[in-house]
Amino acid sequence: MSDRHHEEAPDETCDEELMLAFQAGDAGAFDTLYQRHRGRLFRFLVREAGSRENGEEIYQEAWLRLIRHKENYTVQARFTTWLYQLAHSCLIDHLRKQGRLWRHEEAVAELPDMESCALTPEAEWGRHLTARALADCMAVLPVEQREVFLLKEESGFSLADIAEITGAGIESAKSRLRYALKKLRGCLEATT
Amino acid sequence: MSHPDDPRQNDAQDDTNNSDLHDNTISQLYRQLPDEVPLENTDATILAAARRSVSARPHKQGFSPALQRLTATAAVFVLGIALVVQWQYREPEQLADVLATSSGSAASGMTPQTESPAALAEQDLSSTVENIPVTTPAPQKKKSADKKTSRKISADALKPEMASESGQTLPPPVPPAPLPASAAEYASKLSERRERNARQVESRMAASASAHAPALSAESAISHSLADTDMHEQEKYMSSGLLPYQHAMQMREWQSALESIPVTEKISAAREVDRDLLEQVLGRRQPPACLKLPSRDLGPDILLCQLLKQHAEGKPLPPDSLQQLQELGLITGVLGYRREAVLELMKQP
Repeated sequence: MSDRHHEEAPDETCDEELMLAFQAGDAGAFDTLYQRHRGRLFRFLVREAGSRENGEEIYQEAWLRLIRHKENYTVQARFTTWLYQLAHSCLIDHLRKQGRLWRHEEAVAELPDMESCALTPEAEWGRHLTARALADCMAVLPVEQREVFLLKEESGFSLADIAEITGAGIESAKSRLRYALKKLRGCLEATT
Repeated sequence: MSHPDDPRQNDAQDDTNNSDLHDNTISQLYRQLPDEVPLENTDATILAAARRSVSARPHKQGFSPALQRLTATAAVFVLGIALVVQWQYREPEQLADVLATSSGSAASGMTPQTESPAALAEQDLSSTVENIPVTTPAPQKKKSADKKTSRKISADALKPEMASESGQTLPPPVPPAPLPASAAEYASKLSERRERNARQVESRMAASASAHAPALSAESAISHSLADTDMHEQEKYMSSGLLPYQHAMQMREWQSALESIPVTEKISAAREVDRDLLEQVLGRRQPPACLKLPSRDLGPDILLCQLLKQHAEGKPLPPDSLQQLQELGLITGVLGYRREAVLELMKQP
């Protein structure tokens, strides 16, 4: 269940058909949908929220909101777009409730423990260090730029989808992504 | 690092082929971030919520709570309207009195239910009715019970006549029990009227015995007594629950008056009353529609109505119908409100 490749395995039934089946009362269709999107959505929300605790809370609220509002879904919208719109809405609500978008320390604390990493081979140690540097750099990005970066890297959305999910225009999404990559490159060069 | 299983990777690549929007190094580093999955409890919570929503779905497809409330309100409203209409159809006077009483109570705001004349009368009737020489049901009974009582009283009205014919003597009327304030006021009025009627009957009987024909004198006495009866007040008290009491008072009054009238005069007077009644029925140029009751339980009203109907339709009457009409007409003529009841009965479809 926790394997990223397992959840990304192709399925003959598309998401929209599964969602319509869930609307019609097929709980098994929801199970399939959930297994298909749980990993990506969870990672997106945890990294966007800055902590596993906050991310898990938003993640659960997003799915529960989908269940509550399943009757509102129509095939005119792609399921993934609709799902991430709900998640984006939950994220915004959560950030507004917190009054603070996120803290850099929380993002660092979510990285693997350095003592456990010390037992790994040199190559793994260096890889974790680089990944940790990226996580540190992501944490200092503005929320909007980090969200666009995560939607692209984690979920593979196009700029049009990102614009639809975040409610911003395509040009705004493109600009945010460009700035995010630029800042990440500078940050990584500075840390390494 | 690429995403071979991601169906949207191609779309994303279309947008991000530009070097400004894509960095292979950063993408590769991102894939090296540790994998994270939700807790099993979170998974279980979400999946359970989905199953609950599916299981609760057929229930939601029924009447929504708002629609249920609306339907219940509409049903209560319709039933209330139907009840009022039915009541108005059956007992318009009583409904008007109730509405007037309720509006008066609402205006004054200090009329306890136990102090209303009807309530006092009902309280008193249990003791008063026991002293009445005719059998009357409890005053709380509905209209059907009242009709039954009326018929019984009407039937008993013949007893003085029969008794006088057979030479028997009836026991004197038992005086009524003490009345509450509101009912006592009416009782005093009724007593005064009774005394006045008795004096009038006596004087007219004395006058008719010397100067007029007997039948005419009886007819005159009955008609004058009928005229003296305040129908409006009778209806008022009939609708206020004083009907049995009213019956008893009138029965005593007319029993005493009838005892002094010869049978021949009664029959002649009844004929005149029947003639008036028949004229009213025939004047409508349509046969009366009599209330349908079991044949073995025919009351005098029903029997009279059927006879009148047969007469109006030109059918031959039974041999003894004339006598029946005379006797029944006597009852309906003597008791003015009974006569009105017969007329109302014949109006019903």
